[in-house]
Amino acid sequence: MTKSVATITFAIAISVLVLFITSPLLASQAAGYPPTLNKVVQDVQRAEAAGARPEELGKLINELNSVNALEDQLQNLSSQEADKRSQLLREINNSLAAIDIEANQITIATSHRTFTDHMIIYSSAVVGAALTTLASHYLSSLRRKYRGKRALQLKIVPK
Amino acid sequence: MKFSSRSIQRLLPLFLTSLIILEAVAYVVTTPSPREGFFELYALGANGTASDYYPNNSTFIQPTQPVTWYVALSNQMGSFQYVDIRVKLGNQTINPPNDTIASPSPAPLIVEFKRFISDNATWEIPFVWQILNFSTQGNHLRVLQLQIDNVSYLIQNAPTCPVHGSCSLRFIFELWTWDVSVGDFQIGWRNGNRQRMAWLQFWFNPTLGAP
Repeated sequence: MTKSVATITFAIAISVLVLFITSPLLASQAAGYPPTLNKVVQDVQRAEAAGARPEELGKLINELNSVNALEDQLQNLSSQEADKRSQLLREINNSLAAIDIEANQITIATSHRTFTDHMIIYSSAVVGAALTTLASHYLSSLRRKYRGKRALQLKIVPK
Repeated sequence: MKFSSRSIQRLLPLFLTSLIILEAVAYVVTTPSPREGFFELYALGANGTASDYYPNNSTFIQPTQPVTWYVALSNQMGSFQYVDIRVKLGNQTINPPNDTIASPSPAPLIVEFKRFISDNATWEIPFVWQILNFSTQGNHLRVLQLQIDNVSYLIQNAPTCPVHGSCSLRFIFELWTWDVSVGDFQIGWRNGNRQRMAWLQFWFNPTLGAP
């Protein structure tokens, strides 16, 4: 009975963990194509909040600024340049989609990394507490031993 | 090392106490402390210092006389931001942005500069401008065409100023930031429930000849 309860608890814990880790991926898959600029900004913000490294984030920001430059080019086009306009639009949409995918991948990788880091830090606290307790126990046993030794060495002097 | 049940009873409170203390330390280490984000918007003169904003230190600007400023924005919001610096042309009667009610200036928009900037990064925009064309109708002067960073802009609904006396116009630089909740730019930025703003203005006196 106890064993089956433990198995069920373990299975639930693993499922929650898997859902937690894959939730950004599921969210990104639910969104349509091409992603809007707002959605890409939100996904990059999520990657940053998850703890993306400065170089990872810097790359995404550079790519977003490239899209920005393309948007500027698009705005400066005249209405006669329809071919160029559709080509630029395609390029913008492809870039946004690529950035969105990259941001989501970084979020997943970073979430794993942050989760592992947190696990290590919190586990270290448990190990630290155990070591503190052992050290305290060892010191007190040493002190008791020393006291006993000293007591044995005492001489009884009649007054 | 042997543990009797008595020593376990004695050590358990010590273990739990140190566990609570160390887990609290771990929580503090892993949880980023909240901070109030802000932007710094400032402008520098032609030499990249807080001086020499006008040629010959005179605010009287003749047509085709280039003026160089460096408008800079520092992001201290704690996260990357999508920003928009909107440059408007105003006169003495058009209202500047209102910090109290967080509203932009109604002055006509000339140009805007958009960029994504990382946290703790500073973005510097070289702003080299000159008046290409203006008209005088009656007693009023109107700037019709400006060149900014080698691009020419025709000014729609350009503000006017009196020809006789002091004709003062101003560039207004407003900071707008991307608001993901509405999917558009907002004036300034939100800090909790408050809307904060950052803007600059530079006065100048368009003139036909030396004052």
